Amino acid sequence: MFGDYLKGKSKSDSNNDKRSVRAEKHEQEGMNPFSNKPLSASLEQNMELLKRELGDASDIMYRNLELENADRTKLLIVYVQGMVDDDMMNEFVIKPLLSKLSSDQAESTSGKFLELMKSSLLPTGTVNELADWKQFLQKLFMGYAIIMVEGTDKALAAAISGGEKRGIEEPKTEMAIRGPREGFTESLRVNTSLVRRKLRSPKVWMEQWTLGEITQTPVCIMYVKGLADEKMLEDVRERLNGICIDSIMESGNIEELISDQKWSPFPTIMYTERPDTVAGNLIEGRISLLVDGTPFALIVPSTLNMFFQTAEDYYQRFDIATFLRMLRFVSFVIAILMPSVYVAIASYHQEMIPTRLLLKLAAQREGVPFPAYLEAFIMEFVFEILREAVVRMPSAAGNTISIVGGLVIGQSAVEAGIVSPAVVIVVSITAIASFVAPVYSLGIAARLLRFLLLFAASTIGFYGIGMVMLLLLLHLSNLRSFGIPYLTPFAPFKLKDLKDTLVRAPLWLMRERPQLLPSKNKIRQQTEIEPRKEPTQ
Amino acid sequence: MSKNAGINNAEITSGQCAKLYILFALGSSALILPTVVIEIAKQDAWLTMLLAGPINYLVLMIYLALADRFPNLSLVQYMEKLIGKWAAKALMLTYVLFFLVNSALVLRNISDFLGLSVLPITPTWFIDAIFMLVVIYGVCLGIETMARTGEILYFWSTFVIFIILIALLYQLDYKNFEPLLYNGILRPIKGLYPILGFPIGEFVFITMIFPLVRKTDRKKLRKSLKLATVMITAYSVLLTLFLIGVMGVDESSRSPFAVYDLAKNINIEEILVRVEILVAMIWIGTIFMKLVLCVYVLSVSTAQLLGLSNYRPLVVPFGFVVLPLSLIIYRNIAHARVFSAGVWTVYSVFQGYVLPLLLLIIAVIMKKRDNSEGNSFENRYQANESIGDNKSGDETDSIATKEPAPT
Repeated sequence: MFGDYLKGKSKSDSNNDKRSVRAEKHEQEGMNPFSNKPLSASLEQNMELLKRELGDASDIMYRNLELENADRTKLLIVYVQGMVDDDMMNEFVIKPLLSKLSSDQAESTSGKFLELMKSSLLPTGTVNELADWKQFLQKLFMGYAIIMVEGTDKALAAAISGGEKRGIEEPKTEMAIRGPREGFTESLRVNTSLVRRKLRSPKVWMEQWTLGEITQTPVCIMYVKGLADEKMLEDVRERLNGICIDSIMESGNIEELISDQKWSPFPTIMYTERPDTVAGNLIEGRISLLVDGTPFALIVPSTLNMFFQTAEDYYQRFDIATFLRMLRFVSFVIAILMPSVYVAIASYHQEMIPTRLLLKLAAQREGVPFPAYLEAFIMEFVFEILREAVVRMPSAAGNTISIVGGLVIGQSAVEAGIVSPAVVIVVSITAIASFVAPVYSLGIAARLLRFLLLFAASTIGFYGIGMVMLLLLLHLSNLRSFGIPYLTPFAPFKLKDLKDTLVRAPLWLMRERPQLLPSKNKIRQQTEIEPRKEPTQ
Repeated sequence: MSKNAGINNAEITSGQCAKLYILFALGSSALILPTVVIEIAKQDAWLTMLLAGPINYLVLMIYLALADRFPNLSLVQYMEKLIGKWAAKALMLTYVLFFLVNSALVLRNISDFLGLSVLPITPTWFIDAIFMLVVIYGVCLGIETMARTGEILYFWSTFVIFIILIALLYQLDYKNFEPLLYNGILRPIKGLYPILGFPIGEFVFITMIFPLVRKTDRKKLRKSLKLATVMITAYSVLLTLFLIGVMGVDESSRSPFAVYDLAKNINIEEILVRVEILVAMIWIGTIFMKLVLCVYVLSVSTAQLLGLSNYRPLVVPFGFVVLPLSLIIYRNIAHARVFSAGVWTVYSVFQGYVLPLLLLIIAVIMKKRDNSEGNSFENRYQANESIGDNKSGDETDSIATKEPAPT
């Protein structure tokens, strides 16, 4: 077994090797043409090189300036149009440079002009000094304005990135009746700030990564120092390190690349659009991954239980929150099992139906040309088509589809005697139940498994359902999310963690953080706050 | 592999071990055993079940005493330390055969039960094959996954049993228990005979699980197993009480799967009727756990016998052996009665108590103790972690491009 481990280790080492080898190859292929070269002191040469290697791209702007100081210093400003804020460009870069210099400033030689600019001429928040083309290109494409000085082989990057962005809106996929209305946007900095605004502690730490060789996507690991487990953090870093891919377009790419189990319909990494969900999970000791260019943040480790929780559960009273959670569990079971149980009962276990209901069902099924399983399968399939069509169509056409779908398939098919009304009812209840899942990715698992179960039920009835459920149980027990068993706290059983699963215990009872995360700092509430009792007289 | 660094769930907890023990006991025996016992002990069968508790406890004590002496070794492994290599190998072989036969019997129970009650037309081999496929998958996933599955199944089956018992509470007729001890105390004691072998003798499987229990949990293990014994006794007494109380001695000693027939009596307002399929589902679950454990122990002990480094390659071949063996192991249910009452008890008692007791006596006389580690095939994660600790995070920064945050 140690051999196993050693193999594993060498594998991860070779992963890193692969990454650097790939990066080298990348450079040889000319993807990063001159990244290791130093900047030249001549503006002419630099501009020529840039224009040649960037194909004279039309969105890259070059602005030449000549200052009115003693040396007549020549400057070149390079920036990507659309990625910098034009007003800031004018106000904070060009204007201060062109303004008359005071007498002692004017005395400076060109060698020191860069220093002068850095210290007193650029009124922007961040100014970086660049030495080589690699940094130069990185900053350029992050929306910095880059200022080069004639005769100096260094450049300055001023952070004035801006351009058109989507504003903060209500999260589209995770609605809440009560709770904050803001959702993440596509900009990483906005997203981190949204979380920071909720956790104003110095213990909230972030690590910046850049992933994807062409996309150069900024990724941010966010955690609360002291609450997040160091080993797990190390694990997250190592997995991110193992990624060597050309593009990271969305957090889904990262999710797929770093999750424990590659072959599973169940998501082992949760995603969310809500800053408060991220903040709540960080406080419980989890780690969040924020990716630039997407409003969906990842949360690790995720257990199955988390996919049934919403942020709102904690804002409402505990009794209704508990009821809603149980409702969600039940709906998930319905979404998975309902059609297959119907088929199993209708084809194999008719004795389970009370007699009066059985007569009713039998009367309905009279004249229906298909057996129950085929009927259920067809209806489920049609429903999936409808669902996909409604999601993809423009919203105006979406209404048409729902009318056509509802009327034609619901009513006409029954009236024509092609399907029995019972199947339509079953499929509709299943459909509605499957929409209850608060996290969309869990609903996907339910959609896929439904067909598997339908097949099993139509082959050998309840025995088939039982077998598939056992397989599923084994599979779920085997899943891990960053080393944490997926079914915690049910299996392995953690009594203390049950307070926040099927039930949501009152906040004054939840004194400790989840046991499943190996953090040492467990206590949430020091004092025992209990509901105030009536004063006794 | 860094995959599981950070969390050491390499081994099972004492609670999981106890739940596996309970599920194994509930397994096929709770479905079949009451019939046999009621046949012998009549209306006093529940007393028999009560008497079985202490015996179960004593046998468990043998296993625990052995486990105290060899905490990190399985039965098959410490045999070698006690009686020499070749004698131990011969003895190991008897255990391999025992678990092979046991697995076949358990699988046969499933197809008998389903063939008779739920799927009368489906061919037996098909039922068996489907079941075996799931079992093979489960065994290949390892003890941790099995233990976690067991936990869920344990809660589920406890829940359903209680629902069923509550639904039947009003049908309980105390007249069925009269006359109490009509033939004296001897009759319930006679009823103990089948229980000795099935399931108590089969509990020897737990000696193969002990070394996998987490080291920090070992102290709690004794307590939770004792609790498990109490639970097992409570379950069997309750089930037998309800069987006799609801169905009467005659009917319940005639039905081959008495608890299944018991659930047929449930009738709540004509709406909740014929829920016996629920019982079938939980029995499938518990029998599944029993078979998974049997096949696991079978594969592991064979691998330890042959000195293999991994038991997993053995699982599928054993699946292919167990399946046909289960089809020929007895002819029909009548034959099964004779087999389980006559043959199996002797065999199981020999493997289950006599041999472990002899080993314990030898160990006591030779004053042998051994804390060494054996190959349990399950220390993978633990090994990872211990090495994973040495690895520092310095490699991380070299490749990732760290940069200051833009404003």
